[in-house]
Amino acid sequence: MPADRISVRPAASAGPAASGTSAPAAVDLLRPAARGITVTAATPPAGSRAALPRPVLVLGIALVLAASVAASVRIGAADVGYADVGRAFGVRLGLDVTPLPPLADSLVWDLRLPRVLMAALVGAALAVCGAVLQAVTRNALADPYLLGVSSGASTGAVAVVVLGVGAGALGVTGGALIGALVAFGLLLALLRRSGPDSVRIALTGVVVGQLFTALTSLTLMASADADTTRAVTHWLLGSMAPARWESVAVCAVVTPLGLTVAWLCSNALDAFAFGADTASSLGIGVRGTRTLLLVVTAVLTSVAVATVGAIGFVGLIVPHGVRFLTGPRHRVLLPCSALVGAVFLVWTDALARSVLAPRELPAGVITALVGVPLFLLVLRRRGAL
Amino acid sequence: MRITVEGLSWAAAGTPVVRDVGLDIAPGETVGLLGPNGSGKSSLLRCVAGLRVPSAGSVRYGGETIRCWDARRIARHVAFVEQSADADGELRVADVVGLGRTPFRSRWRGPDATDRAVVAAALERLGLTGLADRPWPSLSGGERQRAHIARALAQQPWALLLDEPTNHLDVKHQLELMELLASTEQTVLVALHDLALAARYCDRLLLLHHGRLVADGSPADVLTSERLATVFEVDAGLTTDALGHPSISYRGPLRLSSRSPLEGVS
Amino acid sequence: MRHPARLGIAALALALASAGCSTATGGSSPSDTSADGTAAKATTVSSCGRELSFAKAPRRAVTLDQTSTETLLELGLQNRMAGTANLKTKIPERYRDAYAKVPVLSPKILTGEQLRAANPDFVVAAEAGLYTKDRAGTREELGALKVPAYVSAVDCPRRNGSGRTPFDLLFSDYEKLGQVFGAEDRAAKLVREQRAAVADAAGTAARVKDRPTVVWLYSALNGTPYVAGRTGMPSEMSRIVGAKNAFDDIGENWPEVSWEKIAERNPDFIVIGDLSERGRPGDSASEKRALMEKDPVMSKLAAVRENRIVEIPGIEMDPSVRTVHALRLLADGMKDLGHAR
Repeated sequence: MPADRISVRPAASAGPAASGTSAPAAVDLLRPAARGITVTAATPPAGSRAALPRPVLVLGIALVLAASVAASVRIGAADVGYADVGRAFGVRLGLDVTPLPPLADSLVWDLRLPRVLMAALVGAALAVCGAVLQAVTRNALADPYLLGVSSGASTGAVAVVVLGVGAGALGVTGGALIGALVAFGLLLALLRRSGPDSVRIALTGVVVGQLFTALTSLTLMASADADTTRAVTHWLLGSMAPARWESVAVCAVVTPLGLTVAWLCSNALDAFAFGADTASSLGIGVRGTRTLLLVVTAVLTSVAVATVGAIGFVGLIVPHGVRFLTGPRHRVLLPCSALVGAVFLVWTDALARSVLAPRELPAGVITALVGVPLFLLVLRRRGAL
Repeated sequence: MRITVEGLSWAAAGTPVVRDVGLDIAPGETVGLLGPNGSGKSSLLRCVAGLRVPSAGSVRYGGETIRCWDARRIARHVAFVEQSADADGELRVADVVGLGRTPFRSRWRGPDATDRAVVAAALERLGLTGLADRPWPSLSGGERQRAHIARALAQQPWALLLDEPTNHLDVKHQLELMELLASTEQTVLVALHDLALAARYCDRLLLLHHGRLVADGSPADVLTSERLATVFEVDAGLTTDALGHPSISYRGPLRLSSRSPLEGVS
Repeated sequence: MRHPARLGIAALALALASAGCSTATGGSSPSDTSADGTAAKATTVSSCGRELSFAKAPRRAVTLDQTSTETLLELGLQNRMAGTANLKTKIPERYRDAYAKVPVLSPKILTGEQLRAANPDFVVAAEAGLYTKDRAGTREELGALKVPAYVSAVDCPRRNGSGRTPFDLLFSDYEKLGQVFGAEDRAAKLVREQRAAVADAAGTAARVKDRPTVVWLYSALNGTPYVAGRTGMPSEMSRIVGAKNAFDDIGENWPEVSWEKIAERNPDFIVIGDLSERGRPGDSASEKRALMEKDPVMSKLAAVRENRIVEIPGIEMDPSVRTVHALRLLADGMKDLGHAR
């Protein structure tokens, strides 16, 4: 029997599921009248991959992430043992453990733990933003900073540090966040008339980014002395060092929300593959969905960049690497990208802390140094697409 | 599903592209849309597919105007195949065909058994089952086109709107595709370049010239030497073949005529 | 330093034990005026907007920059220091032995983890910019951990009342640090010596004819000159010796200007900062001279043509215990060039 005339049982007949009690009707599934029919026969997925089933893969990477976090907490200029971590937790849970001396406790609890958690959250956010933007702009080179958001964040940070705008109330993080959102607002305003077309998004983002980069440079050149410039440059390269529990808390709320919204748009992201008209013809509200995804991306990126600066490469290469593992369907790609991005940044941050100890390198430097060889490997395996 | 269009006009950046087009397609009909390049075929198709908002006129599906319908509702009625939709990336053929199930999938769940069964049926219908696992960049132009059509079928649509689907296909696949379109019970509106295919397989033909509908009728009525000269600027003779379809023999191109393009012959 | 956390705990225990012992012996002996005394009195000092309280003199001070390190070493406090960081040039000969006794926590800017691992009970820095979240941690955070964080008064002139010169502020640092460590006598001696040096240099001003203008060229990185503005020590030093900083109108420490601007202001003489120890291209005094001689505009200046140039080690232009040495070089230079009789 040809596959397009397979046996089905119409959903209406919910009687005894006896096999062979009635001759199944051959149905042409490609007719609109066939819509009411629910297929219960077990059809193997067309072209079943030899890949791992999805839940196993996701669980596997999640376990790797947990192990990475645990391992990374121990790494750094000052060795921290699991016993120390346990004691820091134990004291706060009210358990009867000997507390660590206050400075050692501060090292573990105020610095090391938030930093590692922040790396995981930021890595996840940047990887997913990269994947989403690559789909929305249909551009394999898109990364989270394509929208110019990180340039806006730099301008905001520099305005606070150098010009002292609202320094008391805001701090670098607040200034960076506001700068990022202003840049995004400008992007949306520029896109309002013509709509978020894929090429236009990329071009407008580049323009906005350049504008704010120029503003940052102008502020630095006009007002900053050598020390401030050095401090801001360090921030511009991205570093996990400023992470504290307050910033982790904000990230821990915003990032899962943003990732969930993006994941719920997986069908739309898949549909964008062939352009706006095809996506629209498949039932996607293209303009609204694109705008929603841009907002989600901008917010996720802003929050990440505001605390730790612009860490490059994660958003660009993690989605490509993960696509190689899981295929391009976003329902799997997004969760796996988030997890792999988290693992990647946790490890690069650990390297940044330890490779040139006691010096600390900016994380952005390490992500590029580690990312480039990995990326070349992926390209080679895929036959240099 | 009946498709009715009344007084449809559409302009791109101020330039009129579709002018005051009206047509009525009965359920199940296979209608060919003809016209030279720039006559507005693609734009008309897109307006009928709900992808463009007309500046004047209306489009109705089954008597109901689609002006206020959202994309999902339209997608459950009509499937649209672009001329040459391309994608980067490593989508497999099965994934591409699976996209056709998008209008029926909720955000929360993945493809279920029904989706997979429909996709398998679509692949089989277009002879793509063996290629289901192949990545998109490795396909030929014809294979890609067939994958798009399988995707459209997977939408279980009431009507199929296709923009020059035979462009990259081998003759055999062209004929197979036209047979498929002619034999489906769905309403079909297909823009075609190949007049012979249109003549052979379509119940009705629509002829567009500079955005206006200049002919609407059976292939024998629409395809006349005079029309071929006016609209397509070719010198051709028409006969009827053994099966009763018009058969065209081209004698050569005509030099640019000095006649006004709006002098249509209806 | 494989387990500095545990080392820190051990050190803390030792410190507590020794403090207990010293209390048992009845406090400091009367002749004990050196910083090794274990004076146990409580003090409070204010530092750039924060009140720092000490139940007893610190025993594990960490300095975040070279200026603070040299100040504490000058006060003979090396046995009360648990670490130093951010060394820019070689430590002067007279502090070398003392410096060697203190662990170097980092050759560069200290991170929060490194600071905590050293288990300090007092942190000293010359500028507030070292206390940020991505560096040593904020002063609030350290305060919450009961670690007082000191910032040099020179970094916050507005909080220290009007009418005080940068040298006044510098000397107030010595006095406050002396108070905190129970080394008031040593600090007072230092203040006396340095005040005398300043007065000596001010004597030059009395013998100066006109008021020569001076440009302080700190560095010419990538060919762009950085000069002293109004807010640093160089301007103050110029004022003391009776000269005038040509760039007094710019309210920054080391603004970036251009050769044209310098030439425009046509200084009577030029002070070059010798940064040969930093070792980057263009850092040494001779390279800066060469740059000026090559520049089409600068080479025409009288100051360049007539070699009216004074060389001073760049590090001494920052507010530190060595600044008075720069002051003396400046005064001597003025005399050599004939501006002062």
